[in-house]
Amino acid sequence: MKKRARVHHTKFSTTRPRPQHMRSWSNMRWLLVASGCFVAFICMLGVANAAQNNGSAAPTLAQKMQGAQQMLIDGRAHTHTKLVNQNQAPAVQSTPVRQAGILNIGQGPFPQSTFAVYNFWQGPVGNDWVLAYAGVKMNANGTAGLGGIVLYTETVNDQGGVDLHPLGTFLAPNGTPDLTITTRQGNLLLLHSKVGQQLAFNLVSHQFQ
Amino acid sequence: MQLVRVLFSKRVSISCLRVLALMSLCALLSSTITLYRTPKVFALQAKPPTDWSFYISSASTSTAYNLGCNQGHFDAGHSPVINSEVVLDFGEQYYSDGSGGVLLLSGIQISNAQVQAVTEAFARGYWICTGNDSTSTLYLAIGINNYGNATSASGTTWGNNVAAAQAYNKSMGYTSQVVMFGANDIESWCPSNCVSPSAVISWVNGFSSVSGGYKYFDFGSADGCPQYSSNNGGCNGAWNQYYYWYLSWGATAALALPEIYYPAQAQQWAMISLYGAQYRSAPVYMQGPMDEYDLDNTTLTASQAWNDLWTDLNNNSATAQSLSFSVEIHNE
Repeated sequence: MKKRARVHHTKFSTTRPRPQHMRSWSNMRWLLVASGCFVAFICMLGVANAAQNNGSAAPTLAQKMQGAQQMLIDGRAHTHTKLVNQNQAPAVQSTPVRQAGILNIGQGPFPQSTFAVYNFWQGPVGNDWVLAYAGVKMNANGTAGLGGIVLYTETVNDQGGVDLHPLGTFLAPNGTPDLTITTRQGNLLLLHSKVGQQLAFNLVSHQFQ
Repeated sequence: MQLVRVLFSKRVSISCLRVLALMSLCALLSSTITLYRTPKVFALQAKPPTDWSFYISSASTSTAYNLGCNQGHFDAGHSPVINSEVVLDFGEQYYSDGSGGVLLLSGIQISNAQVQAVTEAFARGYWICTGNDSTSTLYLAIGINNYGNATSASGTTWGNNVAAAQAYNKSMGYTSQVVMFGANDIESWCPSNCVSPSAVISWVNGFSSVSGGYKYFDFGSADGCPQYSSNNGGCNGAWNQYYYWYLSWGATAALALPEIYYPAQAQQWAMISLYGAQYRSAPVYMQGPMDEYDLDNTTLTASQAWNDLWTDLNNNSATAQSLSFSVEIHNE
């Protein structure tokens, strides 16, 4: 009991001064903690610095664009006179040759994430030149939705280029999945789906039959 | 005097030592947290004027000239003048070696010579219509997608198209303001025709084999990639974050101009960039977002695409960066 009481007294008493050797040990302990933390902090700074240096060893955007900048510098070393007051536009070309038929095109003039194209047909319908992209409408979460067709008409402009005019997206009935065009018969495009369904799309009424 | 003695006493020194130890501990903890790259908040970088890119639907050089002229007027019309970045998207390459030219998204097939002529007309239009301004710069990219024939040979063919346009532009003096790049709408193309990433890597190798050190912009989407993780997660098809990182930045010739049509796409690209920072040599440093609001007004506007991409990249110090261009795709 005596011994236990003395230990307790030595550890927690605030009234009695601690022996000199205990105080020295406490100071030493704090000194060790402080120096340990300081060393660790310096090491951490070193690691951070090394990581930064490592990052800069990989090419930066500026470094990747260096070649382009050099081309520009070379180009500016040999400048040509601009004839800014003359009409410099090339002559208008003749109408592009367009061939009716089915093509294996994987992209339309719209994002793949809204409508994935399986194939494509183009040809005359009445007085119009029609473009039909068959495939599947994509859901907002990236999964495939219903099969369908995206239609455009194409006209030749006075520059010899072509303008595309969207007619709309027409989805297949009865939950039909992705569609592929197989042939054209009159005003009908015949299509099939991956689960074996056969459909016909009327290019005049814009309806599935 | 007694005060000074007290200040320098052993007791005060010990107290100071303890405070110093605590401060060191705090500094250690804070530096550790910093190394773990916690999200940081910065002021949003202002969006530059948006440049128009195009789905090319014909071989009309006069149309291309006028489009280039519009961009020239636009850049020179700012004070001070500005630079711009434009992709001319020529659809997909015809034949496995690309020798058949391209199949435009409008279903018209044109030759590689016509691709070059359209591009050169655009460059000429820009150069002429910047008028007395001789300092604005157009980074002009000839674009294709990897849907059909992505092979080493078709990559080389495309690199040759870029080199031919650059050489022609140089002979005409346009290179004082126009620099040529390639571009590829790199995607998995699932579900219609899932393309192998190794095929595109072959294309990139072929493109890079053309002398001149030309770069290409990857202006595709990373469909199906993770939005909230960066440990090389899987994407649609046989793709993962590594492939998108490599094809948009890791390859020497690669530069990134990602499609940002939806908020999720900004998150996907930010995670690909973070994957690069954590597991590869570097994050993806991007040119800026490409939006398509003009073609589909249910998608992000140019400002929204810019804000989303910039914010998602700069939410993490490992991928924090400035963007240079805002690009929007249009029909010719």
